[in-house]
Amino acid sequence: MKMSYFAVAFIISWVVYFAYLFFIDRKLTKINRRFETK
Amino acid sequence: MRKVLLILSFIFLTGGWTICLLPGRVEPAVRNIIYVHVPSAITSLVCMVAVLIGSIQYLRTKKDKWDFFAAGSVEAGFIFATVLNITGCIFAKAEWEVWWTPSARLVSSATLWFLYTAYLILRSNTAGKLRKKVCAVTGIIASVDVPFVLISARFIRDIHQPGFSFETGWQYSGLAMLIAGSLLLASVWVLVRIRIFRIESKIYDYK
Repeated sequence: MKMSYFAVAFIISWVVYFAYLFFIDRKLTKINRRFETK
Repeated sequence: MRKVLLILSFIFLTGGWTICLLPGRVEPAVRNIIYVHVPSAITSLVCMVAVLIGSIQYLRTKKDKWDFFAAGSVEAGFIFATVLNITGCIFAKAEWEVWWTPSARLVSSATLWFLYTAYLILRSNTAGKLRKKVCAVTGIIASVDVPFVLISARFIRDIHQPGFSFETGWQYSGLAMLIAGSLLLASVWVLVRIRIFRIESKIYDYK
């Protein structure tokens, strides 16, 4: 399937954004756990 | 739960966009903006209903979690309301040669955006328990716009084409997947935001 550069950039940024949300949630869980133990 | 919602929203949005841009493609090309416009509209209205629920529950129970829920919903709803209005202007220019016209649906949608903005400005300029009470009352007043948007969309004739319908099942299913994906993404944003509010409040208590 032929794809434009714009489409490729969109797909990459789409995947990166969801990965970012996934990892930010993990980070928030770690921070929250630190407060729970203090 | 957040991770599950995130993965589901990714699946629905990716699948929806694949369907909408391949078998569900609408002609002319600019009309494909409806696949962004309609899910944003529905999600922004659902977020405002969530603000109403959170605000009423906060005033009733005085529990912070409801204030966090309302504020998180406002932030998510604000983004979708912005997308709604911008895509609406782009579509209006391409289809009807005007960026804006004072019809009921456009005015009520713009009002929705301004109400979200007003809540956010109010929230950032107040502090403590007063902030929570004032924001809760503002949230309840702001949600009065939701029936106006729905009534203007259903019953009042305006520049929007009456009786619009798709031609193929792919288009309907693509739109449905995008609506579901947008709602799931908004819920992920709200849950992450609530978590951030909780951590912030712990930091302030710890100090």
